[in-house]
Amino acid sequence: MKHILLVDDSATMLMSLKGMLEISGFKVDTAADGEAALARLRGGLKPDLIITDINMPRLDGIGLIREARKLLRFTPILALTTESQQGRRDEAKRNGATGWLVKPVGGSELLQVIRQVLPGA
Amino acid sequence: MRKPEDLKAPRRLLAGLTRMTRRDAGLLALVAAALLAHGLWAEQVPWSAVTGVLVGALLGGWLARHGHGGLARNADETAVVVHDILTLRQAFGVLQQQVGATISSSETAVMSMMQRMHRVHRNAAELRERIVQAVQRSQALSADSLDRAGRHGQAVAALAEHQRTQEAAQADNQARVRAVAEQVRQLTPLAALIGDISRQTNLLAINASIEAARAGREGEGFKVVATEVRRMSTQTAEAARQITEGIQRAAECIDVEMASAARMQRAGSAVELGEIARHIQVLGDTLADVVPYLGELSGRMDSGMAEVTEDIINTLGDMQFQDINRQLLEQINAALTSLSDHFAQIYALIDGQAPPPPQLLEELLARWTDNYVMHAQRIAHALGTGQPAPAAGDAPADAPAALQLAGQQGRRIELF
Repeated sequence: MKHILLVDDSATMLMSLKGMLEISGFKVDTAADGEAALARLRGGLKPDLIITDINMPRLDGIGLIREARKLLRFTPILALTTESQQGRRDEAKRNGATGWLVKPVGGSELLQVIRQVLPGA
Repeated sequence: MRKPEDLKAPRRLLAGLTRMTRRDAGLLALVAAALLAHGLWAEQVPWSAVTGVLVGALLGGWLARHGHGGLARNADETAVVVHDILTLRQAFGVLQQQVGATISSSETAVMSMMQRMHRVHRNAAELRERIVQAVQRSQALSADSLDRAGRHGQAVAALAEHQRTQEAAQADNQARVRAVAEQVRQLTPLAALIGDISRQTNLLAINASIEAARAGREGEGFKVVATEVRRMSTQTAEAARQITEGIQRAAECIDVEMASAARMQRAGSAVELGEIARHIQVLGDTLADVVPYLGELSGRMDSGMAEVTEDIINTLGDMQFQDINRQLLEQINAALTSLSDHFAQIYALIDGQAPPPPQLLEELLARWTDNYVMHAQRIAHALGTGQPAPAAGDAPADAPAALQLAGQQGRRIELF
């Protein structure tokens, strides 16, 4: 069973995405912002995939991608955000993001992307 | 930064407003109230018209109360107030578009979720109906199988009883027949004995005839007796032979009858066994029908559950509208707060209690865009301020308007 770390400051997003992914057969951990997610990673958590929001308090998604990439070199990281600025997208790419998805992304569509970056999932 | 040309239009409006009396201002206020009331009744408030008329009434009343002297002294400050009040229409327009986008996004997502939930309910009802049908069919099959099993059991029991009875009867019959046959066979030596006696008697008769011939005339009578004895001996031998043959035929008939009885018993068992075999064949045929039915049922259940799961997954995905709306509403809240702060300074300026705000409302509106993250917000701002809308991004062509509005510049999904 593949393991996904979900990072978003919206409790509703965490709850709905976690439910969706668990129904689809994934093990899911959640964090309410980049700082909390980074603490989990530094504590030894090694997910197969990280899905993160971009605009979050304390440590935003770009910062999380940058720091997570230092710990997990090959783990795919997807940004799932309402952010539409091309500059932010480019910044995420430079810092090691694997993909960029703009909300709203349909459930089936999101699963398709996850299976693309997680072969065998 | 404020420019002199920014204030030309406000100054012209101001010149008109300075000619208003308190009665004119009161009439304008009544018109604004009427517009608002009609708009509320029609569920479509013309905010820009209401705002314009109300602002005219307030400003005309203020000028009529304070006189033209105050205006002459603070012409620039008044022009700033008028300019901001006129820009207020755009600000309300922006907020109206943002609220409209939020409402539209909510409606689209909720409608989508309702449709999915309706499908989930329909699929669940179909699955329930299939399960009920399967249970009913299983119950019927079980009852039929139990009935057949009961009948098989009765047939087997009857067969066993019949077998036992037949075996007992056969054993008795065979014992009796064997006893008779034995008794009959025991007669055979007696028949042989009669034959021996007859041969001995014949020899004696021959000897007697010889002795009678040797005795001459005196033996004539004895010769007749000997001849008669010899004839009787021959008849006795013939009778003994016939008895022996009769005994043999009787024994053979007994053997044939016993074999026939055994065959008939086996035939009776075969009929019973054939009936049971036929029942078992029917049961097997029924089970052969049930196996593909269960396979088909299982397939339908799987596909139904897959549809239900997909709808639930997509419904949970639709919940992203809440995050979009939260951000839209947060931005609206921030805009209203800055608007409130700005006009608090304007009111203080009107009362002569504070200098003009550091920026015009127009500049404040432009700064709202700094906090926008969604393309939808930028589109709403452009629509509200009457500017050209940015490109709609790559939202699906058949996507609802709200989702198109929530699109973005660049690809919606991009893997690097």
